[in-house]
Amino acid sequence: MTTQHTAADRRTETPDESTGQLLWLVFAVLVAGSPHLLDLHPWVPVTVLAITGWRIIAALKRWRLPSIWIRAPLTLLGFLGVLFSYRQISGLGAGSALLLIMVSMKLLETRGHRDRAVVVFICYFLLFAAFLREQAIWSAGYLMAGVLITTAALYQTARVGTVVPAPRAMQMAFRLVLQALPLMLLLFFLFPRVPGPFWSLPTASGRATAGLTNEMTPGDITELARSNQVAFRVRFDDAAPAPAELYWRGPVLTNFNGRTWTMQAVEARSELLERAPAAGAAYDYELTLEPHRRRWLLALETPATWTARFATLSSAYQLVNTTPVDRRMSYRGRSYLGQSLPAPSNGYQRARMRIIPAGTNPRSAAFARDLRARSTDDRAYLNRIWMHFRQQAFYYTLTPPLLGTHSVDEFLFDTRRGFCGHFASAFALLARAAGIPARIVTGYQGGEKNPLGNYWIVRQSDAHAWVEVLLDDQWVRYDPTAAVAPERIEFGFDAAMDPRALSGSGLLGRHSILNRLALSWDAVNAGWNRWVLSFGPDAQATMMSFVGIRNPSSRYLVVAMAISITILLVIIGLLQRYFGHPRQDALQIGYQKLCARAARAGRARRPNEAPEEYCAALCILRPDLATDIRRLFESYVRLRYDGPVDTHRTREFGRAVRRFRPRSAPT
Amino acid sequence: MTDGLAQIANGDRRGQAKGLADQVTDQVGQIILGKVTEIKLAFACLLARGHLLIEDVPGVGKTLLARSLAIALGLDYRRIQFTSDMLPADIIGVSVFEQNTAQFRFHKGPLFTELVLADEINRATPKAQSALLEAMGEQQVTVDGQTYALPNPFFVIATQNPTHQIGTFPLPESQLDRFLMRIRLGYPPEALERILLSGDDRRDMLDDLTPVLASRDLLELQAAAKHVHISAAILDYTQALIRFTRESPELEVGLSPRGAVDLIAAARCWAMINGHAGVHPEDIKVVFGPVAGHRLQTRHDAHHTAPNIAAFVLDAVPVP
Repeated sequence: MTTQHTAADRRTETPDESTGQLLWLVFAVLVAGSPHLLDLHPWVPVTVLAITGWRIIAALKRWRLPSIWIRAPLTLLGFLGVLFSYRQISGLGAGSALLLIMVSMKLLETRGHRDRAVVVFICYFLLFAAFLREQAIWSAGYLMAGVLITTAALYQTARVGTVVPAPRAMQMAFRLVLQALPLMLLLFFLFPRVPGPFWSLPTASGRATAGLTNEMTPGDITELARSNQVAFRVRFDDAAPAPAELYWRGPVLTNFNGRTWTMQAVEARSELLERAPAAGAAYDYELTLEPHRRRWLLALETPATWTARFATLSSAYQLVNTTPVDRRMSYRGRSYLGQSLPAPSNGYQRARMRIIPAGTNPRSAAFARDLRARSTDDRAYLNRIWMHFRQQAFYYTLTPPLLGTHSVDEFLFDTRRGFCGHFASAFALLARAAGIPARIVTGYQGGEKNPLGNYWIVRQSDAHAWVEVLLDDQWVRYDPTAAVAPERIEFGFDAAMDPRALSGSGLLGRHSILNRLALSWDAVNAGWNRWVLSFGPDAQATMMSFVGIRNPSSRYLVVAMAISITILLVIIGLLQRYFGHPRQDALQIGYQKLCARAARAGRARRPNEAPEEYCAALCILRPDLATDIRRLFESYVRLRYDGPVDTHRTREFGRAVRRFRPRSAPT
Repeated sequence: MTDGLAQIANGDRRGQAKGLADQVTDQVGQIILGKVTEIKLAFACLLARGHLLIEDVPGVGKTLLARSLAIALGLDYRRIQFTSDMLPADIIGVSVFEQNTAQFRFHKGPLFTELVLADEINRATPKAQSALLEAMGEQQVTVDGQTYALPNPFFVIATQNPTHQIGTFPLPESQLDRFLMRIRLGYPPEALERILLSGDDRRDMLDDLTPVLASRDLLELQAAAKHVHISAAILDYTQALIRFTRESPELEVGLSPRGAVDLIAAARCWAMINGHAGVHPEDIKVVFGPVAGHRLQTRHDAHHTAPNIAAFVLDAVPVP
């Protein structure tokens, strides 16, 4: 029976890390990596999964880990792979790909606690980077769980030898994270904010975007997808207008080539119209727009004022931002219902809005001329068209037939099936054919009220197109869709598609349980956007003014942050002193100091080393210091273990340790 | 008297215990070469009033160690060779009806000795084994309703062959737990084995041994061991070790409270014979293997043998 193994023997006897610890590490890597995996080049996840899989099998079968001669080329290969597939090394895609590759390579050489800690810290970073990809509340929940799991992995891998059961590790991680919570809140509220979220990295371009576009070709669309994606949310300060009055103005399409309506290039500021004097009922609202990567903003007709900092009103009364909206933005607006828009002052603009390309849609042009000839004036003529849509057999459908070159002709006289774009397009063309300036306004109509959050949700499926016609120097709105499918305007999109929805029952109806659940979820999301994601400089200033600080500068905030964090740490320290574990006694502090100094002279004490063992090892390493070392360690052991506490001699020991200043180890 | 004992442990006479121990080790060390630690462990075990189990292959000097210890400590010594057809009466003794007095008279068996060597204990059936183990626990035997006290001091040194050998009945865990320590001897170092080969027969050398202690001295030392200081720090460390054995998923069962008490007792004796006034972490570390090794079991025994389990636990638990 030999109990006095040398240190080297022990290292080889027990594996430095247990399989359990490795599994925790791999688990943390996969949890932290999975938000990235699907967005990366396919070879990245395949490589990561292959390496981690191999590592687990190697641990179970006790294979040898690859040597540096295998790891180094593999690492280089991974680096070059990222460089070639992304053409760069920075940026969200390339950066996360590189991190993932490297962290999985790191798993191949986790020999000590230090290596494992590196893996864990990269996992934290990956989780943070995942927030750049997705900022929704469910994503925040997932990342929070990821932080817990990673912390548990840190706890597990920092232990010597074995892991504790998972629930206990998670409990410990939860406690650690909970302790960090006050610090997190302080940083969140006090960290100086820059305008816009600071994670506004350029995201991958070319992603398909749902919603409005700057052109419209009704004849090319055979199926309009019903997207329930939220376009924006609106909170009215007071009562909201009736749903039929909710016309959300978006891109205005003025150019027509016979089939396609396109937006006019946005004019310079000098060409802007004078604003019309306010008239009609005023409505104040706050609009939170989801990113759509286009430059326009939405506003209730007719917009008068807005708080979006970089937006201007174009001559077509369209709110235009200087940059594409690639992050969620929210602004306040005031609109006057029933206020008419002023006509363009210059004749060129008027002429443009009468243009029909020659030779297109001849039947419609003939029909228009005929009808106009039989009408007394423009207004009567437009009413006749309206009645035409209403009385003839036109159908509202999302799956219209494909139309040819003279799309309006075919729609008006042959197919007679279409959605708002078809009706608006035909109406505008008929107006123009009679010499009346007309344009198409796209945007959203209606919305769904969320009673839980007292706000309106406008979805992509609420997208709409209507017509503005110039009558008596004023723009007048005509919505031909309302002539065909009035329920679309009165009750919204669902009503137009499914009469049963009006009955208010059924699982999928507007008032069903499922819908209520969806509305609650949306209310939670809206709160998350409003209070967390959009917490910018303005919100910060507002919050600071509650505690009596007006317009704090960044420097002020930094100082405030530093002071409050210090106070917090002091409070935690005091709490720990009085309620936590008993403070270490003077003897223990002296011993730790002795070990620290001895570590400089020879080597550090291993945690499992008894004082005598460590002393013996040191004496072999530093024979020149042996006398001092032996004397100090012997007096420590005597004080600690051989009798009751001796304050006087403990103090002596402390002094002796302070006098012990060994030169660092001779090399 | 108590003051005197306390002095042995703490005061100026602390060296005396160490001196006696060194003499014992010297004496026995003449017979058993190169096994100083094992001899001292065996001595510490007896001082802690514990019984000792020596497990090893035949021929490494198990019996010799027991006999030489008995001589050096000045104890009566008897050897019981365990066999598979052995009955409890062969160990304890038997009541015989005597015709002239017309009464049963108890004839004491070989167990009534200060130091009993139970040789190859795992060759006997469990029934015979348990007869011995009962005596070890209570230091008395009961035959036909009559209780007979065993001598004081009373030690059992049992030897057993590794359990995988043919014709053995392995001791169940509950009975293993009765032994304070289990040690292994192992082969002697090569240089010392050369002396062994060239020297006299060890059995003859036993006659030259002189007792170092009287059995009264032994009792005094046993009492003195209880005065070795146990600091709060050493209790922290011991409890950390125990907690680890109970919580580690690698181990099937942790150390029992009895095992923990035994650990402290053994560490006290080890500290005393090494001249320490209190138990040091090193003392705990030395006795941990012999005391805990046979009481712990790994989940997958394939790659952990007894000293490995102990080393594994000692490695994992930091010393305060």
